[in-house]
Amino acid sequence: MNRARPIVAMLWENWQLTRVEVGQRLGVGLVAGAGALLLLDKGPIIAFGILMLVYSMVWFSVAKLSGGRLSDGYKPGFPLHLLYSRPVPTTVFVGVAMFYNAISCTALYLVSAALLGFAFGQPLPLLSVTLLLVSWHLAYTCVQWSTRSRVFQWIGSLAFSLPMYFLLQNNVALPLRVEFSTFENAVLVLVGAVSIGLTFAGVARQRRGDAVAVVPQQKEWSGGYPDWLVTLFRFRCPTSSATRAQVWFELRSSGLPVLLIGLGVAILIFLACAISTLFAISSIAAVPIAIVASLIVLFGLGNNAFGIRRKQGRTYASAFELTQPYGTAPLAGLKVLVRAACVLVAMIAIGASLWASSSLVGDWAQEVMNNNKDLLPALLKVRQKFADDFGPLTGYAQVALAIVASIVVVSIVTWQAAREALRTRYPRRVLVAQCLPVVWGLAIILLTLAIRKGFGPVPLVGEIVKASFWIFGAAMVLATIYLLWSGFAERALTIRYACGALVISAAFGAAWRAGVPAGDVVGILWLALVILMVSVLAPWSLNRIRHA
Amino acid sequence: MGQTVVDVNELSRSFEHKKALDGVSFRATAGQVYGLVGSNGAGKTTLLKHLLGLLRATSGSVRVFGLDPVRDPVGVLSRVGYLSEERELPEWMRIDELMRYTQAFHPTWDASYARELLDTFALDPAKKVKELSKGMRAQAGLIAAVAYRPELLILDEPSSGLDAVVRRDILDAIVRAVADDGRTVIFSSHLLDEVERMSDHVTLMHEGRVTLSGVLDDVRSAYQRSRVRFVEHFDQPPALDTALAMEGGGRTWSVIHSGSPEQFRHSVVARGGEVVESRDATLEEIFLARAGRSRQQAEAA
Repeated sequence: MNRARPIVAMLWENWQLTRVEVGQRLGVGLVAGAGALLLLDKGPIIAFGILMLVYSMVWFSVAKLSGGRLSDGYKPGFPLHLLYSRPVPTTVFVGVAMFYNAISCTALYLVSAALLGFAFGQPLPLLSVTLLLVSWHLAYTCVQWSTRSRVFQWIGSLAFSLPMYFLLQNNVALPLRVEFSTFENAVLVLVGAVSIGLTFAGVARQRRGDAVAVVPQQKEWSGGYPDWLVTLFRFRCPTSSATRAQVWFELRSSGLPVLLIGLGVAILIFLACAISTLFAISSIAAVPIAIVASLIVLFGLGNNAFGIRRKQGRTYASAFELTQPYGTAPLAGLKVLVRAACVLVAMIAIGASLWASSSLVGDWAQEVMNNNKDLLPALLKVRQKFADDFGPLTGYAQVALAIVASIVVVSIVTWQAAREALRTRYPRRVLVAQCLPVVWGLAIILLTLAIRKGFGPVPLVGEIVKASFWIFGAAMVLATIYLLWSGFAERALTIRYACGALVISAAFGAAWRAGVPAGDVVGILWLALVILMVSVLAPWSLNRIRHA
Repeated sequence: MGQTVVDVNELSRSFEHKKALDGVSFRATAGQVYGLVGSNGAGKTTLLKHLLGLLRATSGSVRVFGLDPVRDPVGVLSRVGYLSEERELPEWMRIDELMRYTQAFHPTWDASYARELLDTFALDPAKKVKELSKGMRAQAGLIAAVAYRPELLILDEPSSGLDAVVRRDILDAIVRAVADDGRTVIFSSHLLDEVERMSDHVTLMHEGRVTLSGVLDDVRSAYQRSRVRFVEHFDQPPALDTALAMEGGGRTWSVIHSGSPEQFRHSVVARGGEVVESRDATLEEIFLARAGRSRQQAEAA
């Protein structure tokens, strides 16, 4: 049998699935890296960090090849299970996808680093990190694909990525270069080889036994949260009112799982710090872990509050929910508020855990500090900074800032929900809109480079940035007016909802002013406008998918 | 004639370059059962989704109980029961939770009727939706759709996944009970015998258009299947007035025809033949003849 054709076909399929993301990642990496090299003192090391983050740590691998995102009905296990019915050995289709994933991500890094190094005359590490990136991706796909156990996937991801991170951190030297010893390279090769073997074996097992079970699970309703998490707290659905029933639905299907995951992370952070006297590394790692955990809770678990589903490349909202006799505006508001409340509580729990953890490591850290002040644990530094910044504030100002933070969290959750709905309804337009900031950043960077070479007046970039700020502000005003008009015309908005959005927006401005009296008034108005626009956008976008 | 429940006028809807509905008009009155038939991609589900407000018309109008389902979804959906083709139900819910959740949206929920249907289908209320087979999901969805006694029941391929006994005995009984209660049922189906058995009215759709619509008995009596015999041998079907489809060969042909039987008989005689026997055509025969005719017309165009 000629193997070349199936391999070419599978490579083509992988390319089709990932080409948009490849373009987006390349754009983001180039713009962010160029910005760092251009604007910051420690440009090369930050640009290197950004590229590593973009091509390995944040988007570990091409998302669609990793089974999709958690909030999209994430299904653990090998994602290309439709290949099970093809007359191709498991090793071939798994190998093709695995190597495509590892090679494409590494190639993206190499291309970006080479381009940035050439353009700015500050070379970034190239071949020395290739092996690390390849084995990183192989290990990641192994953890994601070889098993359908989510717990194993979560723990496994941490178990291999933390050592990898510290391996990289220990081998970075200034001026920027990365060098691994022969032993370390051998370990990386071994990690890659073991990952390949385990993935082949794991997927072969899924192909033999799990193929049938995979199909119905695609229709999972619970937003991809583990079933035991969704059903952990059982309380009866109230029948007294539709609103109460809908709150129950939101809490059960996604709110409480989000909350429980956040609480779980908070407990883990606390436990990690509790044993910090035994393992010094846990104290140093606590801050990055807490930041990453908070970001995951906010942007990962707070995503997709409208419950948009993905199946076989199709995005859609559930007809079951959309055909319930409940108004679009209250439905949108309720979904967003329940999710945001759960995200907020989860984030508070993580923050409280971090605060309590810093007390636990205090004695030990004091000892370290006395021996060598440079080794002051990051956790204590954060605690000190927090106490210095917020301690002197009056109780009134602290409450005001808490209101500001809460409204920001609600707005981020609302924005993410609206974005997912718009992406479902208008995928191409959203893609173009997402590319605009990247194009804008690229244009500014090129212009700055040109001015440095003497092709224009120095203040030009500053003026363009200022003009962009006002243009974007004006666009937001127009967009908000349009959304209000269109929302009322289509009956997607109610007077009550619009007044609520206005009150929240005004409350944000007032609270900000009370918490930070020295704040820039134009900046506050600008942010309040963003919040108003996002609040109005949510029911409008839900209406667009409810009545497609 | 009962009160008009659904009034669709010149409804068109396109998905990018594909026209899913093209000038569809459809009317339903209270106390009747309407069957929508058509091949895959004919536009049945698209039409039903317009009735629920899940799709917005490109042109034309949709009124359900005199309301626009897009502008007033709550007003329409509170009076409509719906069973989707995909049987989308929350996988994590138990059946009793599904019932309570649905009940919260509908003050007219009839708990004893829901319990009776659960018993009839032998569904365990403690079971989760994800543990149900496709047929059991359809049954659970059907209970959730009918237990609040909606004025309009919309069923998209309700038989899909149901076994023959449930389909014939229980589904038919539920649909008939709804209609006898003065309420309206609109359902789509691929099973023509089912449509023939359950409907008062039939609407045949093909490539986004309504090709035939009317009271079932009128439709059936308007089409005949005749066996004709000719003296001459024909390699190709001979041209006959009012004939929609012909099959056979040589001297003997079976013909589905509409319109005046006399006109058809004269046409056969004029070609040197005779009508050997004639009977009302079945819905399936009409459907196949109409679908074939539409295809021929499309090819000719």
